[in-house]
Amino acid sequence: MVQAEAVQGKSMKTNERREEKMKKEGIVLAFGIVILSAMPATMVSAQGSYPTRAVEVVSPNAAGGGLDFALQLFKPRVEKVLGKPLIINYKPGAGGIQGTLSAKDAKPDGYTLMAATVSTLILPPLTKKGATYSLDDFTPVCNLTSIPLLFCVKEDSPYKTMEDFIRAAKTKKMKYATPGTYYNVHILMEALSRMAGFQAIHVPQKGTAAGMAAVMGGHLDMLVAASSGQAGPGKLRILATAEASRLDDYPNVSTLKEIGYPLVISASDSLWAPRGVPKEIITVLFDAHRKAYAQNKEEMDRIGKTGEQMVSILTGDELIKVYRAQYDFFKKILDEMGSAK
Amino acid sequence: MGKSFLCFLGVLTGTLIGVLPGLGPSATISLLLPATFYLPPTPAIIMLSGVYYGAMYGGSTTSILVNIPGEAASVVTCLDGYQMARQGRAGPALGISALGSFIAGTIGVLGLMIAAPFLARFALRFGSPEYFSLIFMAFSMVIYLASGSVIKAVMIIVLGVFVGSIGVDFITGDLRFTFGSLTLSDGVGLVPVVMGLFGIGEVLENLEEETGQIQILRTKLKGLLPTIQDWKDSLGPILRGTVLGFSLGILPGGGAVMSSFASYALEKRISKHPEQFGKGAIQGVAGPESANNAGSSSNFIPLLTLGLPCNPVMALLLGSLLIHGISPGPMLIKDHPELFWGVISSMYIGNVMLVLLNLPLIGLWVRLLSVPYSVLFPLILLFCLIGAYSLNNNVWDIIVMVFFGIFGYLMRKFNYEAAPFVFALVLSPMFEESLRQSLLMSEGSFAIFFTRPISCVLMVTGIVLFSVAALPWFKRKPFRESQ
Repeated sequence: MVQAEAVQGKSMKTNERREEKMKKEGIVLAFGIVILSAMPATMVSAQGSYPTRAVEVVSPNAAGGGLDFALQLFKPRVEKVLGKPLIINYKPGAGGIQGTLSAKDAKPDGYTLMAATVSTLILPPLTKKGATYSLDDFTPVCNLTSIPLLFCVKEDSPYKTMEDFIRAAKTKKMKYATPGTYYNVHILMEALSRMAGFQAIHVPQKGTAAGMAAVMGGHLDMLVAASSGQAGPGKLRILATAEASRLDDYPNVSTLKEIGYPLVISASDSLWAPRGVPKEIITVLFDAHRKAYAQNKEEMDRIGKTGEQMVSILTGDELIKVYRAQYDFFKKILDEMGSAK
Repeated sequence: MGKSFLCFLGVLTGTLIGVLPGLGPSATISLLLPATFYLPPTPAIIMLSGVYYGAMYGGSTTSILVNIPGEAASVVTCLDGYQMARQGRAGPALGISALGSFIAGTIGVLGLMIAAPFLARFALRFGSPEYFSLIFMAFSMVIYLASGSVIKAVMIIVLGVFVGSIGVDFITGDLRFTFGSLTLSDGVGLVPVVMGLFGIGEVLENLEEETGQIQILRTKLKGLLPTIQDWKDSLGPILRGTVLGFSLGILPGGGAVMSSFASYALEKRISKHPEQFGKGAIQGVAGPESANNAGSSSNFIPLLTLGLPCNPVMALLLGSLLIHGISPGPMLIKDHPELFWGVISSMYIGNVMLVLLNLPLIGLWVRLLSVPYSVLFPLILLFCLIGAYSLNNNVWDIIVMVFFGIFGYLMRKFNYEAAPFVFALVLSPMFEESLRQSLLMSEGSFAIFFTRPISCVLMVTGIVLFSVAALPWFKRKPFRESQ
């Protein structure tokens, strides 16, 4: 597609040159030729050379958070491939519902896209009134990053492994922090406690940082949250992750699966379009992201790591499969919990 | 060289957005954030922090001149700052808030430099029960904020608590008082409310007078800089405000708004002439302004030493550090000394720049007051409308502002005060959150507030303060009613 645009650019330059020449020879003739030669060029741009202008990406979360980190990581590199700017339009509000709704109603011409996480796209329709959208309203474009979900305790906690913690939780009611009620990590911990047969008290916090402070200060026993810099000297100790396999950076941290609880779930930042965007446009966008990553793999992996995100390019088909599976999982547990909605 | 320039750029931007109502440091920093990805980390953080503490300087300007708080933290500055301006003392008010901010900012940076790691560890001992007791104590001090009828203050506080409870129930996830509105599910935004109550309310009240005759300036200008007497009156409030703001700023959940209110209440409480507060007492400007600036230095402590952002601006700075490959925490000073010390030295320089920038501007600002009100008030309204919209790009914020503008006007007509309302609106969500978290932790027992030492001390102090404030009122009540 980039090539097509370059060709078109060239043909337009030739047109201009031709036009200058024609002016000297005769205006009437020039008009006829210019119109004729310009026509195929406009037809090409209408059909194949997407994008011809800047592409807007609606972010349902505010600037500076995890989703924004993923968007900013890709933005300059994708722009280079795409040849047009990406404009991130922040529409935070109502836990992601505001931005998602506005993207749902956007014209499906490929010039309005939407960034999403599990918490903006899947959970609101399950837990909140007013979230009048579902996965079917959007066409998946590309998964950007994946963020592991972690179970952490205080650095000097007596619990050295997740098994230690679960064993203790069966005799004593543990108190755990999450970034908020009905967040993916809250539902995950509920699922684990059901599976392992213990009861724990959920004390929701306002965000991961507040949860970290509560566990670091010894006020609560465990933090369950998406990875965002909890581990490290003087901070928290990770006991387990809900990933499919162990994390490269923390080879000693076991997965829930290997200690006998087959819960495999991650958070992810992904890109979507309103339903009805032509397939060719989706392909252009996906290829641009894949290419941007292939060209800058080392750098993007390194930066991603400091933001505790792993770049993970998935095709639209793979992406929707992952999100549907998560939808089914969260719905089942929420039904068991007897959630608000 | 480059770093000093970026520091200057940061504080200049900060001052400007502080002056513009609505547009606050978090909106500005999130706009600037992508640009800083192309800078090395130290200059990037230097510039972004400059925006933050620069905004704390600039925020007081519109509070004093036209009664519009530029930031939520400068709400209290309206109370006496604007009255000073009406008495022709806008210059001293602006001067004392700039110089008080300078003193507080510099002491704050010193504290940050010397005691950061130790203080951050201490601050972690504040869990939900401690926060609850702290806010309880703050609530019992708020009675001193009111200068008129106590019963009216209590009514307005209850109303503030109600408005603060609109939105998602934080523990259960249920919606409260939203009537199906998605905008209300985020709660009522603080900034449009304060802009409405103070700014729009003031404009509406002024419009009652015949146009052409209205002037903010009731008397002639009396000097541009604080006099020696002003300094004598302000030095104590500045130093007390600094200590208070610095201490509250360290807490991972603390806030600039709370510290400026607390400083005002404290100054009024210990003043020999509490009746002058709300009528242009310079102490009521010096204390809170110093408090919010000292707090803006100590806010960096939990971020730089523990990796914990205590407010949205710090969360943005954390995001900026992460994208540069730096994960702040206890090892930051050791691993990235150039960043830690670079940011601290830039704050010294930045504070000097801010004073040099702000003092010459005072003359200019004061002259603004001599602009005829018929020209000034459409401009004030325009800036408020743009400012409210710039918060979230949401028209509802404008509607909320206009609603509370009319509400604020009615409150003035019936002699209710706006400050206790704002205080309750800010603190009631924190109050509820910490109460319910504490009770979840204790499985329903209220004893948790007394069995933990820090919480117990705060709680008992709160109860004593409350009784001291309430008892004379009960005694005087019949007398008041007969008045």
